[in-house]
Amino acid sequence: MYKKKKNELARIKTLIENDRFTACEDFETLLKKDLKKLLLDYFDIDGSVEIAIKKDSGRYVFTAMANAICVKNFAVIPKE
Amino acid sequence: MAKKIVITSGKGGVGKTTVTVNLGYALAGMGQRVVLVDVDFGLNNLDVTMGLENKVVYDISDVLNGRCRVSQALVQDRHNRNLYILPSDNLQVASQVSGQNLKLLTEALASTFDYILFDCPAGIDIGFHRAVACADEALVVTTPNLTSLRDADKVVSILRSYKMDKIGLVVNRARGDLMMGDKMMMPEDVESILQIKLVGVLPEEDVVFLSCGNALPSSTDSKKAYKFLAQNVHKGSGKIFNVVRKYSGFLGSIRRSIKGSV
Repeated sequence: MYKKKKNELARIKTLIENDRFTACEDFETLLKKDLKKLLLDYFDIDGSVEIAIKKDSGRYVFTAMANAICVKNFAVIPKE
Repeated sequence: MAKKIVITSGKGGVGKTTVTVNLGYALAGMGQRVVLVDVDFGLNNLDVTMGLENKVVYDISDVLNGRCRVSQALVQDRHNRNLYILPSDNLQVASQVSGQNLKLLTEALASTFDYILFDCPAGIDIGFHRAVACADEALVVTTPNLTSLRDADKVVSILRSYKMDKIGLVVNRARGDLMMGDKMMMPEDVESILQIKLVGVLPEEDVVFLSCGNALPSSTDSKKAYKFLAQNVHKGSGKIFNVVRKYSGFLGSIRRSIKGSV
C-alpha cells in the first residue's frame, strides 16, 4: 500500500532537478558551438570545447575548457 | 517595529491558515502582540478558523477604501488578548487591492505589534506576490509528499528572488509512525531537498482538525510543536519537535501497530 521512501526521495529529486533545469535537449550542443565560436576570436582552438554544469548550494557552477595552440593577435580578428 | 512574516506554500491544503493561526497563538502566549492578516482575498478563512467570523465588522477592503481606520477593522481573539486578526473580504475584490496599498496598511500596523503574520493564498500568481511583497521573512509550509514538495520548491525559488531576510521551512502533517516505518520522508530529507532551514515540524493530529475555532489543548504534541516553532521564529532557539520519538523503541513499535501502519 505504501511506496518505499527511497523511491519517493529519488522521484522527488528527479522531478525538482527537471523543474529547475528547464534547458532543452540540445542545450549543451548549442552552448559548446557558441562558446567555440566566441573563443576562436581570441585563441586558435585545438579540438572541441568541453563544458561542465554542476549544482552547488542551489546555484549552477559552469566550467568551460578548451585547448589552444596560441593567443590570436588582436590586430587580426577574423571577419565574419 | 513588527517582524513581518508571510506563511506560504504554493500548494493549497497543506495547512497555511492552520499554521498561521496556531503560530499566532503560540507567539501571543509568549507575550508578543500579534496580528494575523488574511491576504487570501475571495477564499479567506482566517476568521472562520479562529471562530471569529461573527465578530467581523470591517475588513481590509474597508480600510483601503477609507471606510474605517485600521484599528476598527482589527478583531481581538477571545482566548488571548495579545492576538488580533485583520480579516479580508469574501467578495473577490482582490483586483482592487494594490500591493502598494497593502504594504502601506501593514506599515501602519508595524508600530503597534511585535509580529504581523500574513496568511498567503495558494499558488504563485498576483495574490502570492502581493503578500510576499509586504513581508521581510517567509515560512514555507509543506507536507512530506511529492506534489507539495514540488510546489514548495518553486515557491522557494521565487522567494529567493525577493531577497528576504529569512526563509524557514515548516513540515506539517508529519506522521512519526510512517517515518519510523520508512514510508514517509523525514523532515531532514525535506530540508535537504528544499535547501532552506528547518524551523518547525508539526505532527498530524486529529485535535488540530477538531479544534478549529479554539486554541489547541495544552497536553497535545501539536501544542508543544507549535511552541517550539514560535521559539524558533522569535529567538532562533533551534528546537524542533521530534515527531518520531514516541514511535521509536519497543513501546513505539506497539504504538505503530495500534495505529495500523504497515
